[in-house]
Amino acid sequence: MDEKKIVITGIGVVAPNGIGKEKFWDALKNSNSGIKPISRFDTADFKCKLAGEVSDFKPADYLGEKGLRELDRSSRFLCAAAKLAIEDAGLSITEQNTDSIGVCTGTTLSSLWNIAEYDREVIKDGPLFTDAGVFSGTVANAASSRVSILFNIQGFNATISTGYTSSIEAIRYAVNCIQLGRARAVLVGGVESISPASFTGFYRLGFLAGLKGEEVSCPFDKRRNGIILGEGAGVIVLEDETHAKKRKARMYAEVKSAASTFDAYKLGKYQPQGKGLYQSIRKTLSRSRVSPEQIDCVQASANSVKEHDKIETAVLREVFEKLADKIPVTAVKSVLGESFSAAGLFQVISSLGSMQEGFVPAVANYREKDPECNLQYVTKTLSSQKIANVLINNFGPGGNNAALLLSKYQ
Amino acid sequence: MANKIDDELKKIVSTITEIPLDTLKPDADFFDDLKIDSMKAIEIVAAFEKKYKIVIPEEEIPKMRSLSKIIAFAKDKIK
Repeated sequence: MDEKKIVITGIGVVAPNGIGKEKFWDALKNSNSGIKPISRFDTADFKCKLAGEVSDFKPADYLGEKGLRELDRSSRFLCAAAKLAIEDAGLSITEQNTDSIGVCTGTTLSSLWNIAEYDREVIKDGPLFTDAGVFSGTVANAASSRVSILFNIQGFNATISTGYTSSIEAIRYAVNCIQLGRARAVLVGGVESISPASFTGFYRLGFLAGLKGEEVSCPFDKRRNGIILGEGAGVIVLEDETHAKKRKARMYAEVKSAASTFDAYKLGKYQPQGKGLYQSIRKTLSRSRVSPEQIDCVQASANSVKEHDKIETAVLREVFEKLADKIPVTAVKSVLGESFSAAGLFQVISSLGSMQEGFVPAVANYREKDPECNLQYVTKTLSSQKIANVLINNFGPGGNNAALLLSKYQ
Repeated sequence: MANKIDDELKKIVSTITEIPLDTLKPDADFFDDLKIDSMKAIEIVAAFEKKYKIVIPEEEIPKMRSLSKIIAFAKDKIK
């Protein structure tokens, strides 16, 4: 079977530091952070107060007033990002082509708030007085389904929940669907929204920044001591090149290759040598036919967790050897926070900005050098760069690792 | 009391159906006239049950096809 070229033709983003690709890219260029005191719930009982919260988001501006009440926060993020991506791609969805278009979303915690609310209602008010209308929003695929319903996309709809790597896994799933001829175009999304339940979970596990040091997201910096949670949604339109060419679509980039591995070690613990991450990157590079010398930038998974950033550094050194002293490494979680299953899409959209506008965003808050983290971190935004190939990493404690290689379309 | 229930129920139905209060006709049939789907109908019934802590018997639910029918049912139960 001939491999089809898979291209990215549309971008939509609802991020803590900017909504829409232009605002998001501008914010990244200027290291504008989306991290701020949490306003969605009371943090009086917590030592940690910050999150990459999406604010100034008026869903009606994107989706209209009608039907909005049925959409929970995650669905609003994802549907708004999908709308922006469809418009950006100039993709027209009709009765004739709807069966050849799919939706695939990476998300893990996005319905947690609904689940908690629904449970509370069942327990407090009893089953006879529980609102069944809330039930539909408790399922993991609620947000993804809403996209299909709203935009009448009927090819397929899938939700991938692999935690930190969900966005890249969603891209892999979509690529496979296009390769197998199940779809000509796929809206690939990643979404999460913060809730008291998820915040409490990470807090009690001791995973948040501020519990053992300064409350700051500073990947690779010596002061790093945990994540700051983030939220939002990113959506891209993936298409097979022939389809995109036929409808004269703008093609931002090509998805060259991706790979994932699972190296579960102990519950909630990182595999200390980052074996799975190493294999994911190696496989991605070998499948891509792009040589390590051609990698212009690495979009790191680094999220300001002590072990995480150290492991990623060591793995990148092992993969790139001497080249590791030259390749710029950035970490957008420094301004977005750790948005879990949505993170990969934010990294992808940031990479597309690099290719399109020639910048590599800085690792914000990088101040104190850690001898165990010794790569070429971008400490000040690089501009006027020629960025053709970007390697994107995603991993976390729990065993999932993924890597993705994007190349500028030419 | 009667008018208060009228107003409360009208507001519930208006919120769920997204039909403004001033254009919501009490006798409009939920399905034939207002074209609401079954999920919304369930939501209306559930919101009513929750607010007044009254369970609408299964066999009565299909009869609740308009605001005026829900109001009549409510007035019969809440005295």
